[in-house]
Amino acid sequence: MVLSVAEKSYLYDSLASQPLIRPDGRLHTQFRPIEIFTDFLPSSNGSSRIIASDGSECIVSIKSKVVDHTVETDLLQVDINIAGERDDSMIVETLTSLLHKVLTSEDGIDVKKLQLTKKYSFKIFVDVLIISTYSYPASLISMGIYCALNSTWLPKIISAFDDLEVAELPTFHDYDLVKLDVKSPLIFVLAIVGDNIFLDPASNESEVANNGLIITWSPQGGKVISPVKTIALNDTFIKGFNPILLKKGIKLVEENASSVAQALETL
Amino acid sequence: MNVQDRRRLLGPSAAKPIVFTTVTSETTKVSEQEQQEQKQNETAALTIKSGVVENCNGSTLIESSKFSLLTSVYGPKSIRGSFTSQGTITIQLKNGVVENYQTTELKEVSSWLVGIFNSVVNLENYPKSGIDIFVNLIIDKQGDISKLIPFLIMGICLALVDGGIEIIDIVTGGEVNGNVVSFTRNGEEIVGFWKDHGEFDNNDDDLMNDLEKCKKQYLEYKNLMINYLLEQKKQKDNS
Amino acid sequence: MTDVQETIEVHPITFPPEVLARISPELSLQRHLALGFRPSLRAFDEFRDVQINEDSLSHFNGTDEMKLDTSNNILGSNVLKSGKTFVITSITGGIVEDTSSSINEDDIGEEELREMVNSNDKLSEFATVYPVVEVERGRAGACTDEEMTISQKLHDCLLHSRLISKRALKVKAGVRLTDNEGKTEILYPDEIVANEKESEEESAYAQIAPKKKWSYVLYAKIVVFSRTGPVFDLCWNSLIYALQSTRLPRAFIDERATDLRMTVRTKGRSTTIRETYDLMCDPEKSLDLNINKSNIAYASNFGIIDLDPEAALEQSENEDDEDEDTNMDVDEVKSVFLADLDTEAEETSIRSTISIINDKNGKFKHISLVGGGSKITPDMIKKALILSKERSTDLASKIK
Repeated sequence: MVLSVAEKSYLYDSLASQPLIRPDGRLHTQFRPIEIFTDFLPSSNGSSRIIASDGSECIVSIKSKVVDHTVETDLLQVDINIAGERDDSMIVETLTSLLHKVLTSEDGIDVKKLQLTKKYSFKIFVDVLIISTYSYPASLISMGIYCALNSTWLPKIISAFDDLEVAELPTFHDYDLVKLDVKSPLIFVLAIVGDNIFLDPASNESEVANNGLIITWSPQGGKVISPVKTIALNDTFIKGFNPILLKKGIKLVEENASSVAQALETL
Repeated sequence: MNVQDRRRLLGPSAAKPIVFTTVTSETTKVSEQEQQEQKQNETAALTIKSGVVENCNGSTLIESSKFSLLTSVYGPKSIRGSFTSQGTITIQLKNGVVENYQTTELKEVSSWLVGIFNSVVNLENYPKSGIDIFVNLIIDKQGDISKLIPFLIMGICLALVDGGIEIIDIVTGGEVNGNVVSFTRNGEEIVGFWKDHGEFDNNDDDLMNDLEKCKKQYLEYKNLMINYLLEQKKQKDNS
Repeated sequence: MTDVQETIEVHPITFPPEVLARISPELSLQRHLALGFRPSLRAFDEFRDVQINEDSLSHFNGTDEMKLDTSNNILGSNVLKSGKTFVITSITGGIVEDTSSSINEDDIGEEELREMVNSNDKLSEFATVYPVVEVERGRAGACTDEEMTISQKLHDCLLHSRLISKRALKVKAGVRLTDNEGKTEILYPDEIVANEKESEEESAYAQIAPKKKWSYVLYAKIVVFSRTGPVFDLCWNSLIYALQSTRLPRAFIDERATDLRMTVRTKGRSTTIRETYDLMCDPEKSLDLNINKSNIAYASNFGIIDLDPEAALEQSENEDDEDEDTNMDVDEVKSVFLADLDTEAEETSIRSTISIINDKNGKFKHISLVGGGSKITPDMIKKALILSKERSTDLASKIK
């Protein structure tokens, strides 16, 4: 969205005022409505499609493979595609690196739940396709992954757990599936305007933000985990902010994240 | 994406990279202790040198016993395409001798650094121009990008000064427990925060404590930079 | 038509030297040469001084602490500084299985046959490195033509210099034994031969010696900073220095993997899988890279340019008439011979070049003459050869 200088100035003043006034009337903790469909890709183990009210749309597919975890230690792999962007573009590589860190974070996904036997584990491939995006899509993607993993069913193992004595590959039941029980961390994007900080900035709000924060929250233990970092949501309004706002932002996420997770859980 | 690179000489495709087995000797523990001791007098061992690269506008070499970072700034130079009312900064990080980091990770860091320098460089003065910054992590014995970030910022900042590009403040940062904080305005404002691994302190006081420590480091590094710049100016005036 | 009689006054424009060098490098160069020195203020046959740093980056040549760092896979390195340019070369390695030499080498007949075939093809006994050259010039994206041609030239010249024989890159693989108490020990064939007393162990090694053959592959990453002129020479010299500091890690294979077959049952059928274990490298033990020391050679380059009398500033006005006339008649072109080309002016204006790789005794590895402008006379070639020999002697003395 291209805003004129006057529009930007008006928007900035209203977002920086006390209390803040958002252009769509939301509270500072309020998300835009989203629509989610799950388990609709027949050839994937799990899938989700998530559409934001501004038309941003993202599809996540979960696939799995049995690997020897003594050789392959990385049991989660994220691949991100954005329509119209090259694979080596800044936004794609940055998001891939961020999502990889989020999923492999120490307090992120419990990889023990992927273990099949003493030697073999499931490796999870998360493929993300962003069809259209208008604001920074990290939060949308993480919700998509959360829902997709929540709807993932994996083949049921019928061979023995202890395979060290007999060198045997795990064998699976022909049609019985087991629900994957992992919860992926959620990413929250916050925008800072003046001395205000608020959740889920829309594209017009991002354009006048003085700075942004990416905060990761893990449903396990319900706490904020790394990675946490600042992000430049535009390149004109960007400047430094009061250290107190960092603390405020983390608190904001801690207070509201569980209700977001709950909403996604009811699907 | 997985096309054979025909522009470079890559050698036999069946070759496997050399993998060292881990040593199981007791010496490892000792060195960890040493590392912590070394950390305390890290600032003392820092050497800064500007203007080392001839074919660019500004450059800085920052070295310590653990790393060696070479920053070169090219620009401001005119960019192709339509008019832009302010300058555009690009930052590229490159692995040095030992390839410690994946390119995706380096790109994430560089886009984060762009955020910092967008708020520090006086971009209005450079319409329709690009400022391209290249940082080569020539030597890095730590293998942890968080520990390097304060010096990356320091190097870029000094290289911008060397290149005569207008900045509104000297910027650098500090690192404590994996929290990297970059400050301006004498520590009153944060321009960048980075934490990509390790425990996150949910306890407010701990976080504020770490912020305070980072601020102390920032002030220390900033003094170092200002002293260096003044010293350099003195030398120039004399000659 | 005739009433436009405005007189146009032509003012001579003057530029400071550095500006002139940018807008008209040719003229700037000619002006300098006419005065008897070069834009870099060096004499015509003066080389830039070269400084090299002792290898302190690589896995085996660094501190003891560095040997513990298993992520450091640098086998040899060099930092070379010449004028304002500096070059950082790092040698890394890989291991490739020799499929051609999987033929049992103990079989004399087979060996003989191969020798007969190879006698015509001496070059196939030598190996090279795979260089990737990066010249930093503030741009991103695909590699430039310069980087590609230098890489290729380094690769080819090194092969033809016969510096590294394939034999030197053969892996003398050891075997890691684990005894009942879980203690591990690594046996290397050549170490056993050294102390012959333990014939018992020798036979033990013979029993479990791996059947496969491997070779090291060497890669070189050469990064050039602050490029001010042609850089092939600097890259070559840096590469040669780096190779002289290169140490190959000892590699071994686990005894269980020496000839391991395991039966795997999949869906009722059992198949035999031969596990392909990779060679692992010893982080503490290493061998010198055995290069043919007599073939170590260094590079130097020269350029020839005709002096343009028109470009020179007239120095003495009283005798110019006579001089110019005689010059015109004889039509004798005076040319200058320059060593170690540098600066943009020299690079762009000088098209006749001589590039030589030789050692201090004058043994040539490579020589190329490009006569792209001025005539290269036999005298000049002779001079180039003598100077390159001296340069080689100097460069060779820098390494201990």
